[in-house]
Amino acid sequence: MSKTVKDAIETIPTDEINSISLSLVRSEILTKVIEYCKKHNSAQMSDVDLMDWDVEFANVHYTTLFDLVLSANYMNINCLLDLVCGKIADMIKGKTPGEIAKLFDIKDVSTYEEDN
Amino acid sequence: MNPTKPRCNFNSPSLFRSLTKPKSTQIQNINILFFIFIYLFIELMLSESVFCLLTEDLLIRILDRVNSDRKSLRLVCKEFHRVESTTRKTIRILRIEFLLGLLQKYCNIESLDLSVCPRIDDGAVSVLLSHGSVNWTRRIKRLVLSRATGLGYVGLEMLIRACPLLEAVDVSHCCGYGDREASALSCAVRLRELNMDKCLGVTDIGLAKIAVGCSKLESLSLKWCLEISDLGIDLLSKKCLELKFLDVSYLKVTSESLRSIASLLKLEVFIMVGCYLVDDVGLRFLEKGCPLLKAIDVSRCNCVSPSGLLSVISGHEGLEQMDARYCLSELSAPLINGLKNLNHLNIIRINGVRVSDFILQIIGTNCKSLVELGLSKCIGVTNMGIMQVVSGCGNLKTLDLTCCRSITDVAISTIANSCPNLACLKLESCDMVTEVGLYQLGLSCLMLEELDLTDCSGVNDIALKYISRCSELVRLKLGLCTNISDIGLAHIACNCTKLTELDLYRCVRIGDDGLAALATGCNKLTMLNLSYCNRMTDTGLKCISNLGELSDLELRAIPNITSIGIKAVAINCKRLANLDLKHCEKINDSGFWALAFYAQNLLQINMSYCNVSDHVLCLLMSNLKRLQDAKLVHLTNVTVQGLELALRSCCGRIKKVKLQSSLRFSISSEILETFNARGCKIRWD
Repeated sequence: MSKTVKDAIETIPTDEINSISLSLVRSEILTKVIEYCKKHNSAQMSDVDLMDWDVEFANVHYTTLFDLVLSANYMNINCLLDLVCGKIADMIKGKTPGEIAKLFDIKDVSTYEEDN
Repeated sequence: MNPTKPRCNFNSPSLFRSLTKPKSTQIQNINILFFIFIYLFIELMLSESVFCLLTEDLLIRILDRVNSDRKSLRLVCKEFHRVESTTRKTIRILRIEFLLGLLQKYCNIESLDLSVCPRIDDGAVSVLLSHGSVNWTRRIKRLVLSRATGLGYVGLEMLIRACPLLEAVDVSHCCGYGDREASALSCAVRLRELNMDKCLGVTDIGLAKIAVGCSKLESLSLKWCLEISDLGIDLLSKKCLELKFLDVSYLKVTSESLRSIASLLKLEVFIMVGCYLVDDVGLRFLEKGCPLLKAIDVSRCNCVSPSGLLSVISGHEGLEQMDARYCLSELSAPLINGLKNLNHLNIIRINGVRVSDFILQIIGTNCKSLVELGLSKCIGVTNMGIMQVVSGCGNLKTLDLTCCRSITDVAISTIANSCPNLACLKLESCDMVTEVGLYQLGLSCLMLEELDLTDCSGVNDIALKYISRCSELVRLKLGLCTNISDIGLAHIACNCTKLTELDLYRCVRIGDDGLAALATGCNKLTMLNLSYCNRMTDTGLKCISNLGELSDLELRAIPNITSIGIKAVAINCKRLANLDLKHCEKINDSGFWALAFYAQNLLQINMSYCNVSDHVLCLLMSNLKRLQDAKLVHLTNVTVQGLELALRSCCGRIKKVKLQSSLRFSISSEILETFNARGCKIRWD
């Protein structure tokens, strides 16, 4: 599922693989990513159940979500990236600029005059 | 030589790891201090938001999913604003003053909409294109210039030549457009979609230029281009072989055109509403032609008979959409038989035709994938017929039974039980429908979004209570339902929170209390019609002003509202675009002054028979920069000079004005000529 891992496996000769360096991924986040990959690779669950599981999976604090985005981007797992970006987008939808800034702790809020 | 083994590095740069638990009570105090120090350090680190960790491409990925709320996102911080500016794909310009600045800022736009921007003319375009870097034109794929009557062929050609990737153009309702403009349009070599509805001056020559120049055309709409004849259509059919969508409504073409159109092998949708010169002979050409035809519309073609329609059906068993509104008087037996083979039919609209229970039974048995059925003003629609149709077509989403007066609660109950996915139900003038039938509807059709109960005298407060169970309701029409009162309205207001359009025309028992409930419950309302609700007063109007999304408000002939209420609406309803105050005689200058000052988004206003004076009228017309349509019939306190001054002040911007015919010879001809020259229509009442 992860293109980075796949590329790493393909470039290093098979009998010498002991470990793959993932320097940008924290251990807690890597645990979650592994959980996601395992769930999606197992053929047990139906599509609907899998979607429900995805919703549960993405229902975490926004800092974890951002870590997941960075990790999924680094490890090049497109479906996880889509899921988490979608979740962040859902958190943004329907909110005023002030509410968005408050939600994500953004400090340098500037008021921009809008033309339209 | 063994290479160094790469280490497995699940490293954790996080500082949380350094928060070690106290190992023993002896050094506990020191550890607590350590803990506090680390905590403060973390606070400092986290004061910079995690959003800053995201790279630009990740931000763009998230932004792509936030479609409708881009404006909110844009205003959050400078970083978002910059990212949003570079990825923005569509823009709709409202004021010409900002046009140049905006286009330079958003240089990646693909779709430009200038249809609501007043005073777009050749000069403006020339300035736009000559000013420094014109890289905003390089990605444009879609141009909307609908109703941009000021733009001529010179400006149009400049604009089109500047946009090399142009694929879709909409110049509908530019009534003065003719062959020169068509020639300009033909410069867009990659053009795939073209909408030329109501370009009255275009003739066969113009159409030929387009056919030759834009050979990749897939979608063409020529409604009302009355000068086009069979010759033009023939050339079009020979040159634009990729055509999938063609609309020749109201053209004076004959059956010969249909001979040419039948040779378009990729045509999927063919619309010929109101082509009164086309008859069955023409439709017979279509029988063997256009093998991919999916949708046909022959509404209002007087010379078409059931056998013509049968020819089209026999040749295309994959037909998905059939529109034959107001053209047939009845369906013949062979046609009914032909319907049996159309198993893929999704949409049937046969308004105005005489039907029978047998016909409806055939439809119910054979057209199982039916999603929309239109039987508006059909004669012979009975309860039994409806029951037979809906029991066969369980997937029905839209059902139009306007003026089917024999329908009673029995039919409504069957509809409710058979069609759980029903989204739109039109029952205008079905006055035998009462709360009994609507009870079932409220129970079973919970996906209902649109309900039309205009002129249904059987609807009362209890019926509204039952209907309010459909919490997905978005459009509700209760015009002329004189038996409903504030109690019923309160039920709707409580439960139907997604309501955006509500019509309470002549619901005379509605008063301020109902409106107060409405204002608190349905805050997404955009269209509200309260004309002739004469119990309403300023208190009710002040409640209405709390509806922030309100854009269309009709308040005709409400005797008790004054400037106080109007002022509240003007100040609070910032999106107000369409306001009708005809015959509201207690509103005086101060109300109109408030509108002139605050209601800057107003596009249409009807002030006929109102008490406004000369100078406030002038203020109104000059201050409202977006005003496009004004109805100023019988303003008793306005003199002819005052009216002339007001007209002069809005001359370049406004598009339609309505005045009383007695003034036709009093107003100076100079003004009338200027208006004509600027593309503004004056209508005389």
